[in-house]
Amino acid sequence: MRSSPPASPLLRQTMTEPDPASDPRRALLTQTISVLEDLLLSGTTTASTATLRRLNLTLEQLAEARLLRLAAALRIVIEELKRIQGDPERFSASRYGLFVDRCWLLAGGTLRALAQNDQAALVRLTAPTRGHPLKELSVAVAGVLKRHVPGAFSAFEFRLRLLQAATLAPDRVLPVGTPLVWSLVVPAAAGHQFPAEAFLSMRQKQGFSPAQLLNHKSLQFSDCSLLDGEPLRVQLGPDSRLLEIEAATPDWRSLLAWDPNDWQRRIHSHRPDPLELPVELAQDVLLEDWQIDPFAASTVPGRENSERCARLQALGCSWRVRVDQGELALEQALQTAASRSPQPALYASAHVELGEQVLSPLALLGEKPEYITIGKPEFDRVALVRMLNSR
Amino acid sequence: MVIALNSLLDQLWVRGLRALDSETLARLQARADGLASLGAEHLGAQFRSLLQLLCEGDRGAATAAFSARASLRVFERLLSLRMTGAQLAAGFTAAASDHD
Repeated sequence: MRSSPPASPLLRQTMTEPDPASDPRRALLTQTISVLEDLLLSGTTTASTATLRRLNLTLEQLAEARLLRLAAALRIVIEELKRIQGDPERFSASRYGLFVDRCWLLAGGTLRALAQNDQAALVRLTAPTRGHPLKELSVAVAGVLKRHVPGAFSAFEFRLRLLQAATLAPDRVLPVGTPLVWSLVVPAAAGHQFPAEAFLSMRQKQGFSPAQLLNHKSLQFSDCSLLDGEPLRVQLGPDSRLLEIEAATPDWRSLLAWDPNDWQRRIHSHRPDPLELPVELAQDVLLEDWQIDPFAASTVPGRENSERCARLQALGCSWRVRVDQGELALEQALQTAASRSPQPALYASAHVELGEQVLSPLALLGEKPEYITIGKPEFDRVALVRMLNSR
Repeated sequence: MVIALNSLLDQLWVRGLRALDSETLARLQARADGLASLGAEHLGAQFRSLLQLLCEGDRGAATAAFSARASLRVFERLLSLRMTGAQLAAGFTAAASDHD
């Protein structure tokens, strides 16, 4: 019999779960695996209305059983299957494959953990991310990652840095410069096509518009939480508020300093597992003295129409820079910046994929960040307000 | 080779294992044999077992397919991490001697 693991609140919650032998989740997980294997055997082109109904029912049951990580992955599978009928040009075989596999692994792994009464594995596979409430959080915005999938969603990841140390627990104090992320995801509205930037003017429940984060001011979030992860994620509640503060310009180069040797050590010591996504092993990098080639369509299978790439040389290495299709202003900003004097540093998120380091640009850094990922497209503001009011 | 095998599997996942034709089977066989040449004997063996089950029309092929794909993803990650680590090491050394 396994010895009891340390009793964290999440483990205690899981430990009050039903007896493993009679746990109703086992039947649900077995059923889920069967549904997924049937789908793999018969393929997507024969995925009928009955198949989708079965998948949606499974999704509801998984959500009720609080198997949320698995439910989230299955939701993406269902979205891709719907695209085959309704929007075939946007269907991605590689994304579909990734998430079907992910569902099968999560279902099988959770089933095995239940059978073996492996509480630590159950927490890892099923427990929601732990949050740490904070009264105040002082940050500055170093850069923004924008993703815009027409007809699906617009998303912004605001890359923040702590301006004042934050205490999560007596033994856990986050120092100045700790990277954090605040995300804004906006589903696409049927029948409307707005550029992603249009949603930055959308007032949040907390009374601020995300565009305010780009005013180069110090920011203070109140009554928020930080969710565990790498990096930590800022979560706002209904009572959270944002204050913009006029303050001395941060020492950006000090805030964004990184150690390439540390990145190398992380890569060397990382032990991959089948559930990880490439972007989960990532590092924000600040590259000086960089050269970039022209952009062209991606050569990664399945991304030829959705992604454009360029080779960049810095630190004696060759990196692949990736941007979404249609981001011509961003491509131009990078090309122009490469030959500016003095040349700004490139602040980007680096991850490892298909044998190389991949960069997603976040900003240029001169005296302060230039948010080159955020454009100034024209759009019909009246139509936007009308659409938002109708939601 | 790993990218090509993944791409082939993406197509197979979309069409379904039951729609496997002889041409795709041959391509899978070639890729599986190639895995051994990369030092991935265990992975090559997993794919050979999968192909056997596919040829027999065994329902267990679905389980074997998911397992083999998971192993392939981990293998690709290991390769990627090793290649990138070596590139970084070489690059940093070159950059340091440029500075000296």
